[in-house]
Amino acid sequence: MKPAKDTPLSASMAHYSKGGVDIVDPRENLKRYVYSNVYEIGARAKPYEKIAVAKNGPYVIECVVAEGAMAQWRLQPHDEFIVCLEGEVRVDFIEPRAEIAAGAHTDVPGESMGYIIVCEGNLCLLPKGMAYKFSAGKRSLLLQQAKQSDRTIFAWETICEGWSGKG
Amino acid sequence: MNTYKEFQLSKFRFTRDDYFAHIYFPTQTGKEMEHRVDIDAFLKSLQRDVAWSFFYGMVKFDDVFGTINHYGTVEVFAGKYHKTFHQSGFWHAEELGRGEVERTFTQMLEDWVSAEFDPFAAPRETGSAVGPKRSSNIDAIHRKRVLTTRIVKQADRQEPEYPVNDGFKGMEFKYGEMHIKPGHESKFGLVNLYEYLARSDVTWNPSIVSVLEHSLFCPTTEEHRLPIKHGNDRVEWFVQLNGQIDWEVCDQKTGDLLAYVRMRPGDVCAMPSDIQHQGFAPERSMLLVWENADPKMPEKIRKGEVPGDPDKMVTMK
Repeated sequence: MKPAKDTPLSASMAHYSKGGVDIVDPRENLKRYVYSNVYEIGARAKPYEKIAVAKNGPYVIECVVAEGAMAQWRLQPHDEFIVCLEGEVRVDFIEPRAEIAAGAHTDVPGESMGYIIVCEGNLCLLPKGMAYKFSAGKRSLLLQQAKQSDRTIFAWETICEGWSGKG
Repeated sequence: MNTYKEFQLSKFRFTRDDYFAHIYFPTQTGKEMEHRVDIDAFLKSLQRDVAWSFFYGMVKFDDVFGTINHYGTVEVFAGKYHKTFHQSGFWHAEELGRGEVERTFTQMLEDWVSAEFDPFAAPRETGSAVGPKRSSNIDAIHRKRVLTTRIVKQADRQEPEYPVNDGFKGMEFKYGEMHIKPGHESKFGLVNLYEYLARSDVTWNPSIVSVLEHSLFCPTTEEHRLPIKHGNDRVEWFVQLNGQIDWEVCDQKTGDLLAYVRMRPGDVCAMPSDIQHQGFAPERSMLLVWENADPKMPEKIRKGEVPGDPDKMVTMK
């Protein structure tokens, strides 16, 4: 969407226009900026892949496309957060009856806590120790504030400008 | 006659007139230097340095003067990180107690910021900083920052709630729904982040909205120019939520230009720990700044335990 005086430039998985990095000093390296675009990544990603777009120590920001229902419940021993960038996502919650391992689970014995509808521009808490499952009627895009897990996909060569195979 | 006060911070001396802040400092050559900064640019930088408690790493007011946060002490410098000044010996730096610097800088703001000037506002939203001494703008200087230790709430805003900024009035805000089992609502959190940001009355002032241990989401609304040049002491990340910002990236030690980074909606980029960056936003924009607040991070980078190069950091095991 084009900017107006009262509306900033915006984008979607169908329509995005990337900026870029112009290297001025030849000693500088484009790779250092780890430059990507989440709408571009979202347009190509499979539903519920957790693709890292940023990493700082053990922490990551993951780009997640929600479409249909997530196959498994997920749970972490720490809080996580999602920001919805496009579409609308339902998050169902179960409070486990007993402590269960972090990660993905097909079934979570426990008490249903209900659900939250997360719309574009909303920030939602995924509380620690609470199992959650995403679902979306149409393809939607999330950013997830998380810690690196065995489900995190690192694909810098594919998503970043100036890495091999791109830019 | 009512005039602006003069301030002394160890060997640095500060005065202002109608148009400029003047900074006087001794140098390695034995000759005292005077450095001038446009008063509105100086006050915008000073305001952020104080409000951010000296932030992460280096806050350069311009190419010459600034501070480096050493978390307890603050290096105040002039010319040290400017190639020509440094090579010629025309520089000075002192490691001072944080409280001492904060007190002097706050008093300077209280005396030098006039009633019609808001250092946090975009140029179209504020009056002028220039001119003779008149009444102060204490409310603007001492805004309370919204702090959160988990997730921000709309209710955390100070009263009265601010209106949606003119730059965002055309946005359609979409509201989520909580259908949580009664009695358990407090365990959950949902906030309309875009509306929350649209109602911010400040620019270039990141505030924490969500906390995962040391991982902090610090979004902010930007317009015009970041008053300071920020040289972080760790890697930080930007996600452009909407609008557009171009970043000028320079070497932190010399100020030499390295690159321009053009951010459009959905763009993600990292800022290495050895650079300084300054943003230019032609329209009101929402930027998600992502920080790792681990207090040991600068030391880990210094020791080589954590790379300051983002491309090495993201690929380390």
